[in-house]
Amino acid sequence: MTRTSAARLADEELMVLVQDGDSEAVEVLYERHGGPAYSLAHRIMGERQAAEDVTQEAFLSVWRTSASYDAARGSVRSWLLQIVRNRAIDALRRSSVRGGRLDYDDDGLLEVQEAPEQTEAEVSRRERAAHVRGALKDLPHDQAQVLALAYYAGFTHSEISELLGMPLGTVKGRMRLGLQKVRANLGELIA
Amino acid sequence: MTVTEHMPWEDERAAYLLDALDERERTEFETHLAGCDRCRAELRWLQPAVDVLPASVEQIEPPAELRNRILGAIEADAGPAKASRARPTKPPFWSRVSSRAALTGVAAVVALAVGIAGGYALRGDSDSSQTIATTVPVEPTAPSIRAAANIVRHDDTYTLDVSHMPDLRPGDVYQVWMRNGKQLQPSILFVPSRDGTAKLVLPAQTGAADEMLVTREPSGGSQEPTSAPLVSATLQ
Repeated sequence: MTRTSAARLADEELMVLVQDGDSEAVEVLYERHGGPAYSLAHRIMGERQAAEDVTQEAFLSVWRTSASYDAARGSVRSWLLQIVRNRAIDALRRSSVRGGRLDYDDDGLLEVQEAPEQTEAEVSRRERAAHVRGALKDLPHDQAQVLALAYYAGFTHSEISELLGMPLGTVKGRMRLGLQKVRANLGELIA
Repeated sequence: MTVTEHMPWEDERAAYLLDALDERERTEFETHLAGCDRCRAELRWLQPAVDVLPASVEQIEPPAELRNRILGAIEADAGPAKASRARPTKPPFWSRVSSRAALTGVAAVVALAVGIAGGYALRGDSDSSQTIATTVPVEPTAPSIRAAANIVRHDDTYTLDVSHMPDLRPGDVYQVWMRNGKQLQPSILFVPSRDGTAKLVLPAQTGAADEMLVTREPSGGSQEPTSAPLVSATLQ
């Protein structure tokens, strides 16, 4: 299938082509989601080269493990970004970078910039992103902090407990309350 | 399970979705999850909150050359795959078996006590076409875990059937390892089907190995295991 034809297909349809070994379909997926994937990798890794490596690994994972994608469990975009997150956290855990982030204070979680957007789909995503940021801004700082330490820095709750010098039960509770609050605030957006 | 008995699991759900449990905690929670409708329903409700977290990060334009780098790597990777599809009569060295990792809700280190040496002895030399199938007894680490494996030898080809494999993280694969003495060699990769099963053609080196192990690894596999074995089989 040509890239022009593939570009008309939904992500889930593209995944069927990827499973059949159609590399043009991966190219279309990169055009749609390469930016968010790279942005997430950059957010976690903190520098360009490592973010590029992680993004490349993630798209290779999509290519090689496309059979493991299950539409019933979420969108292609969510699946891809979860792969990016996993690859990035794996890379962090292999490196010593996390040791330098003991004073991690994730202002970046709450203060983000808008990127130039072009398509209607991207406008919709920007609105969605604004909604997500709104939901996150409503979180108490201590809850946002533990979510960020877990999601963006890959710390376990035991490690967060040690880093912040607070009881494990407190960390677990803040994680639960924070995530529940984000979910509740998103409400109809993801219903 | 009473509300009081269930309370210790309430705080584990968010940590599980955020991948903030260590390996042992994750295994324990997944074992509980397999029999808990309440936790599964709560996870389904919470999951979108994790899915939207990437939308909050600053959007950065990737370098233009990254696109070509990624597509070049995929094209290079596609070459061998296309070649193997062109030779359907020859079993592939490794198989990406069927589709989709299953949400079995279980994960545990499973030890497979394999007596395949005896199975091979039954084969003898008189009938090389005879199939000797050895059902592998499974010793799960938790009562709720059910795992099974079956190793079959056809002439010089070894086939491994596994079922009830634990869920994989998105983008991860299972990797088979062969231990020969003190040497641990990386072997084939696989992704289980949706029901947690996989059927693999094992490499010829299997016959000489002392032990076979399976670990979770990033896609593309690893040169050394990066996680604890989920399955191990004593071969000789």
